[in-house]
Amino acid sequence: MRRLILTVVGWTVVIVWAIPLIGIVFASLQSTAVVSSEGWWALRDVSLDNYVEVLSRGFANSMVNGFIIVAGAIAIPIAASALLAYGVARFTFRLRSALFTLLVLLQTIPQISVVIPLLIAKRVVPSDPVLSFLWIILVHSAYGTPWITIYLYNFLRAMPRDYEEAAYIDGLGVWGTLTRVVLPIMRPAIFSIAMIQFIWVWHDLLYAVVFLPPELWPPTAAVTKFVSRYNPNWGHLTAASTLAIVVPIVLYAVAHRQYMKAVAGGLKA
Amino acid sequence: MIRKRLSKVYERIAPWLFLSPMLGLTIFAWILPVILTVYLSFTDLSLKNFLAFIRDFFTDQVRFTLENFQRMFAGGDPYLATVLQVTALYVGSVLVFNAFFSLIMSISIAYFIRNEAISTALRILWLLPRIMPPVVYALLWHWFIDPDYGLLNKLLASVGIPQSLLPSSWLLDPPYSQLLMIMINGYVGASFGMIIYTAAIKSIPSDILNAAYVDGASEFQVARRIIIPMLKWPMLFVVSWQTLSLLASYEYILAVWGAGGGSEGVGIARAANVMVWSLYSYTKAFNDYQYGYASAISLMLVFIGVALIYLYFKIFGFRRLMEPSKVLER
Repeated sequence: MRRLILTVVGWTVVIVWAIPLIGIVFASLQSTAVVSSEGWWALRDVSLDNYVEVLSRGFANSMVNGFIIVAGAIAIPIAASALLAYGVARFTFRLRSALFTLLVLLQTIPQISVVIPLLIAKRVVPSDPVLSFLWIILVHSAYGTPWITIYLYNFLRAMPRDYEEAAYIDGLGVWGTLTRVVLPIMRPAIFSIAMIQFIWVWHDLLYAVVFLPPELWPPTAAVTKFVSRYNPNWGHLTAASTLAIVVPIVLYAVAHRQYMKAVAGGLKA
Repeated sequence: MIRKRLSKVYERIAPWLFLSPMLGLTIFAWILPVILTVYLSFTDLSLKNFLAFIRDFFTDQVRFTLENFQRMFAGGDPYLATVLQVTALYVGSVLVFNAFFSLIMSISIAYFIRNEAISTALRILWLLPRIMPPVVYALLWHWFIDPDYGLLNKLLASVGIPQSLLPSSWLLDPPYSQLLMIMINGYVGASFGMIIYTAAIKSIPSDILNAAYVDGASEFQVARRIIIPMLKWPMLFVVSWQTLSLLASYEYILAVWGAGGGSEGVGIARAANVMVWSLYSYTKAFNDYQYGYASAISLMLVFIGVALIYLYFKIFGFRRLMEPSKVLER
């Protein structure tokens, strides 16, 4: 009986969630006129017109921008953190506790406290597209590095050293051991991290708006171009929103276990 | 073993080779900006004197002032008291909401619901708000609470609550708008607790649970007397980290009350009485262009963060802080 109540409560909350989401997808498939006169559940004259229109109005470019930023912002911090976590986990290192204190401390510094100087620096430095992308990728990378390092460090510490020692005896150097033995073993951890970092970077609005001119905005920022308080074009807005959420949601649906593992092992709230 | 084979010199340099990429990134995007934020908080930089300031900066003629701090602490900005109140309400209420909600959710998902498929489906749906970009999440809420065609008012009407009792706008009328703020952030935050607790519940050795069953304990007794007490550290951990992240977070409030951006949106946040500390700093920087004052406001968050993390190190110790989701020995 009690279990029934719990289940019902759980499902109700979840259904309240799922319905608006379905609403967004449905609305994106119909014309704004139908949605505002009959509601999104009408499902009349279903077509992909909104998507075609939105994509041709620059959203296709936004998607490409999003992928460029995400690719850089995943690769760089993972490379830096893997190197660091391996170094700290496997070598005696006098400053280890100082280093971890620093890493934890960095997590406590809010984004808003670093973004003002970065904004000003951005204004002073001449901007071109490549530089802007590089800038935002590096900032995202720095934001990801502390928790990724802690996560990988925990992972490595739990891993037996036997493989590395065997590789070492067989004549691999430190670098060879790292790239050919340790990194392959870390693959599942790296995958989890990549996923969380993907979602994090894909979500970001602040850095995108601060560092990039509107034509270089990734999807999350570009959606706001379709938001209008007075005369909303529901068709375009919902199509753009669907495009912005479809990538992370598909990714998550495919690999939700890794995602949860990554959240549970890192320090990222 | 590995260590012994390395030459002395290499052993000296190696850690720094491993360290330097991360240090480079950190200095570029964290440490230098924080130092600059401290610097800026002692200046009167704004959009008006921006070019003059840049010139002064490179010729070493910047005028330092304590104005920003006087404004903050000596009552130069009366609105700050309201901001402080809203922030306390925000952080406190969301924490309480999360603590109960995610605990109930995770125990029912990880323990009561034995059907793996249902449990997974619930978890996937439950995490949706976290997976969605805040802008889209805000859009969903806008749909839900719209007074004319929103689902919320329809639901309440169908339960029999008369129109006259409902607020004219959930978004703008203060007690309701604050409730909305708590719900919106609570849903997202609760999923973090859910993940940590679920992982912790799964890591409880099954012989403990079996021993309780053998002694005749019911499922509910097991949940209450064994699982919840064992979640003590993970719970403390979640509350601690969420205090930090809530203090710094404003994205969802900005997305809901500042849709469209610009001063128009921020005006709404103020009217709806949902202006939290970090959003106020954002407003000062991005809408009023008072960079110096905004830096001083945001600097307070750094101080609070550092003080809290010091406290957490004392409470948790190093190991527990690093491995949140394991049920460690008490």
